[in-house]
Amino acid sequence: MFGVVQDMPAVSEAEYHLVEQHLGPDRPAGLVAHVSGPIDGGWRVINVWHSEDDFRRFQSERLLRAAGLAAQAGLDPTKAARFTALTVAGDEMPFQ
Amino acid sequence: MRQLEYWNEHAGESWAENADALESINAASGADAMRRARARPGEVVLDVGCGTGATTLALGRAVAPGGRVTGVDLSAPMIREARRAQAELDVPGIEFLEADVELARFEPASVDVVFSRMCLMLLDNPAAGLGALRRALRPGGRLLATAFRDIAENPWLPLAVIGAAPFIGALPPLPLPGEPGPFTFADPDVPRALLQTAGFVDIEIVAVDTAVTPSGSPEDVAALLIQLGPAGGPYRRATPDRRARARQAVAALLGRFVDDAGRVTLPNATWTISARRPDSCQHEGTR
Repeated sequence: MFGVVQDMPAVSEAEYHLVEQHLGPDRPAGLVAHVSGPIDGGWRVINVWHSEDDFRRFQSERLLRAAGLAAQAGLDPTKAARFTALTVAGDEMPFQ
Repeated sequence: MRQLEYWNEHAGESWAENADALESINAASGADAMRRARARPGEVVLDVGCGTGATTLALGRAVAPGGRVTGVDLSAPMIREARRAQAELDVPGIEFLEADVELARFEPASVDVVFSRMCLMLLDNPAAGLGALRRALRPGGRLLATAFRDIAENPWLPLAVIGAAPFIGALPPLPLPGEPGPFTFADPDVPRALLQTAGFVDIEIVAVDTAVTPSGSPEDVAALLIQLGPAGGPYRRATPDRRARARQAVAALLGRFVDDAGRVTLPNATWTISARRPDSCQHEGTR
């Protein structure tokens, strides 16, 4: 599995939800877990993916598009996200 | 994505087709290093990541008469354009080489100056690349390079990708930390450590702030910036209507950089990196 921490300095909860809104309702293929919350002066997203390819596909096909639509709706696009890749050990939990 | 694939299949054609216009944006990122290189008549220069050849031709004029400049780039379309420009301008002592600098075998201790505008941070394996360049330099030979500082100091750089993304196809994957990308050298300790490990001495990294003032309307500038970066390939393949919408969206995001006369001025924050191969091989240890 592959984890990504996405720190967005100076991004508010409302701005985060603006991007999320433009991602649409479909669960991204390969996404195992998603949590997000405030950090000092910004917002952090932690996602765990089945594979690095799943993350890269999501970024290429959906995340940048959503960020672009959010920018049109008022998100300051210069508040760039900083990504940190994580190595995630273990398998998906065997229960629903 | 490896750089060979990116610069041949995604960005190279855009850069080659818009060479002159893109040079109006890129020139500011190399001017300070070009001055500090002090290339002199008769010297031998290696221009790493020469792109469409503007820096190679400028260096060729500086080392004439009697000097030689080899421009190296792994992008076939850009080397083709560089050779075309060379044939047109006929600057003597120039050759272009389509090669990956990390794998190329340069003649050892044959080069007086290694020059590189905005390329070293894009190497897949910068340690290997810098080692190869150090070996190519004569003892005492100098390296001059430039790289972007932090994204916060170059706030226009992400605008083309973000603005265009909703209107064009999927973009190539963007680099994660540690992968080659425009901001790999944003922390100057990164190139400093790489240069030290590769055996360079007298390493100096200086912040340079310039203003990029491309000609044309905000939408013209938007088109250039889209083609300069990872959105360039998908933009070229998009329908005319989608290309127009992408340009308009990016132009709107550029609004903060447009003055009352409608002119776009972009703050460009770079490092000029200088270093030297030690004068004597005795000081190079076992590298």
